[in-house]
Amino acid sequence: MASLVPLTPAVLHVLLALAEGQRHGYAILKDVERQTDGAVRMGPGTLYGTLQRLMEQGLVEEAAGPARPIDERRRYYQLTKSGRAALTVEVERMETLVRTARARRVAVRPSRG
Amino acid sequence: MAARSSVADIVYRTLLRLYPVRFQEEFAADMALDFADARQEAWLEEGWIGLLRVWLRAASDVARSLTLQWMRTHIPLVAVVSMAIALSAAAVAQTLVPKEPFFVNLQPHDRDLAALMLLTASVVLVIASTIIFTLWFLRPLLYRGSQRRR
Repeated sequence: MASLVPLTPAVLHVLLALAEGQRHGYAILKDVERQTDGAVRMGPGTLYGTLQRLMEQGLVEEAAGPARPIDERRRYYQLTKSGRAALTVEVERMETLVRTARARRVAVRPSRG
Repeated sequence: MAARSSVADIVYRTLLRLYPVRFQEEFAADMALDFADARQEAWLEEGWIGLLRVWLRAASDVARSLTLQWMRTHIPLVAVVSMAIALSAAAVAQTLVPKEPFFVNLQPHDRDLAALMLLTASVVLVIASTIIFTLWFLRPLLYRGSQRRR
């Protein structure tokens, strides 16, 4: 798992979008936009290229989708156990980094929420 | 709106055909749906400006991801190696071919024409060799791809 860390920003955003449960491609795109207050707007090409890599690495898998899908053509994706573990390791790594930065007065702004 | 939607969808789906076949088969349908949703949302929220933004983002996204996807297939690398082999073969062939007997009886202006014809033939041969070598070296990758699809 450690070999996958640090994750690229695109991978981190996609894994975070899937942390709350299964989502289809467009829902992931919108979630990434929300996570970053619109600073990151991923396109479908980038998203599915990232999903392809994540599925090859076993971090994401295709999901069955909801019982009553809004659009039956949509494919849903979810985190695997390895995916959740990789996300946890990365977030912990970032927390340590932020703590260090705060201790050195690089980032003194308190976290939101 | 309906006519504009269908034209936009056709243009975007045509762009998706530029991706490697494996990627297309797996994700092109989802990408087209996402693009259609993004376009519809932008139209409802921002009108023409929104549509323009969606198209600009889509163009940049396609350009970037297209390059990445083709790099992942290793085809550009194989093509460069094949071209290097073809060029080396052409260079070796050039040193082996005797020039004097062929050119000795030609008038100066015919020599230019003969040189041009030789150059054209060499270029055609290099391109053909590159294609043949690329396809030859890619056989294992193509075979692996077709097995994965099954």
